[in-house]
Amino acid sequence: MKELVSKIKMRLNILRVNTVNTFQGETAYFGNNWGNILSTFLYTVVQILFVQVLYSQINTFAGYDKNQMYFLLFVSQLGFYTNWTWGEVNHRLLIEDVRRGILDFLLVLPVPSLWYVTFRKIPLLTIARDALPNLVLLAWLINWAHLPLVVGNVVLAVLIFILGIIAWESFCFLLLLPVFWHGESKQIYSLCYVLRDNENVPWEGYRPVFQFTFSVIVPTLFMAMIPVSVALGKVDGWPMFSLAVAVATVFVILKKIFWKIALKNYTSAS
Amino acid sequence: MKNIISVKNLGKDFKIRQNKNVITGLWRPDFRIVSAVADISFSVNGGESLAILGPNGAGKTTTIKALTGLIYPTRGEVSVLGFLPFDRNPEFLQQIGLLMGNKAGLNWDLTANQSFYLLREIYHLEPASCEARVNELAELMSVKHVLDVPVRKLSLGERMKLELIGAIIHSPRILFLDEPTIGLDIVAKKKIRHFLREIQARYKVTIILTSHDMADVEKVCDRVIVINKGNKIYDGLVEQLVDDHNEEKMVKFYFETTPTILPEILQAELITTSDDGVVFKVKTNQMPQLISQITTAWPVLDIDIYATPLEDIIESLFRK
Repeated sequence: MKELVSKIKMRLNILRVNTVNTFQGETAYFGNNWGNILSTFLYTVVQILFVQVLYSQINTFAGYDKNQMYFLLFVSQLGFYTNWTWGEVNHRLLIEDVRRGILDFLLVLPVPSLWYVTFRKIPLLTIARDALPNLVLLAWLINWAHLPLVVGNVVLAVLIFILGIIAWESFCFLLLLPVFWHGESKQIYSLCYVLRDNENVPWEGYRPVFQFTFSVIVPTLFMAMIPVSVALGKVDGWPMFSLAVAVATVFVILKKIFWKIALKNYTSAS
Repeated sequence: MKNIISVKNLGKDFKIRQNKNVITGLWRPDFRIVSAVADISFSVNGGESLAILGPNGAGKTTTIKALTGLIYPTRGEVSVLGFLPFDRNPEFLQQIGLLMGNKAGLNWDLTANQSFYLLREIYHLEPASCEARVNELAELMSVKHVLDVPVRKLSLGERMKLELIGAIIHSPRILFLDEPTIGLDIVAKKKIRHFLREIQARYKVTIILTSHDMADVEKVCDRVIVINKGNKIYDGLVEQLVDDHNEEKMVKFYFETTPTILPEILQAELITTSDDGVVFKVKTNQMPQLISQITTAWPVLDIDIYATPLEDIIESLFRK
């Protein structure tokens, strides 16, 4: 028990110091920090325009009205920013570090290596800077009172969303690992972009075979479509929650196993 | 002194892709096995300072990486401080430090002090004593004034000194140094060598060093292991290595006008001839005859006699 507490304390401490260190790094290039806002803002505006155009022709899409579609867009953007600013930043950093042999310096630190490389950068400033304006805009467009939200469903939806983020991070982590064998994996890793591009289609719009594929094999739907469907009461929450737990667990275990195998194959570039 | 590193029949092979044909290589890649370390055994006692020498590709860095747990050995046994390095036991990692001359461990965008804060937390160091240690080490290295400057704005010499402080901030028992003075100017090299000797004496740190610069070895290490093509070819004290090759001396003659033609003299070997002087390598017992022969034939301004440089000794070992 004492050992478990000490392990948890160490991991929380890594989160804390890495957050501080990331913040120091984020503020190092202050002038460059605001350049990304415009592109993310324009992306959101284009998505909103698409929804406007779509719903000027039809009343519902896969059972979703315009307000519910904005809600889906809101959650999918939340998932996107979480992945982009945390998961992807750390993945790309790891690819570069393996390529250049800089991982050496991390592997000689007395910390759990997988935890450390997963949470090396926690860019709170970037999240606040890039995500907040767009999420606020979307939140402002949503008529929250007209969404059929029930507390129990929302709680389950939030948990599924978190599990989805964990599963997706682990899935993408597996895609970067070929760098340990081939010395490069950016192109393989870029599959994460393509596979995540289905984030604005509601769960109900997928055929069963694609629902299965994009939840169990490539776990993208847990980050927005399934939590939204659960929150809106369109699908039963508990089976989806159980599935999310199972999928996240499997991917986390796979991540741990393949990390160990990858480290055995680490050649540490000179 | 207690034995803290034990290496038995260490071997490490790498699978290297080599495609002679670019097209067929896309679906049928060719691989060959390269043995970076073939079969190396040695042990190190606590407090020793050991240099691992060898030409490029000899297996020096691979040996260091196996000792620090960065790479998994293909064969053999490695034990460091009673641990298997690749297990990466936190207790083991807490006791080692690593500096690599050709890689940057400090965060490029942060100041050294900001990076040291991260290390302080990771190694669970008490803030006040850590700050005192950083200041003491920075003072020794003359880099106290750049502790709060972003690393990207520092010179290579300053950066390496700070990298070294980062590598020993937690008072490791063993410090691994892979070419610590590579690319540095002579002043920075001297400073780092002096610093390493100082911390070894002060904190009884065991030093394992690889370098192509013989001055690093002579100034920092007591013992040397020479490896070539993945095998150990010499293991002994630096002093002993020089003594073993002491049957020959280098003799340099300074002339007012350097003779253009020098006859074949005894069994002496002419090494160099220039306006600066002429250097012979001669067996120690034949040295008086050489000096007598030269001084009789030409007006000599001055004579220097010195042992065969370590660099030449090592080179002769590589050739064996």
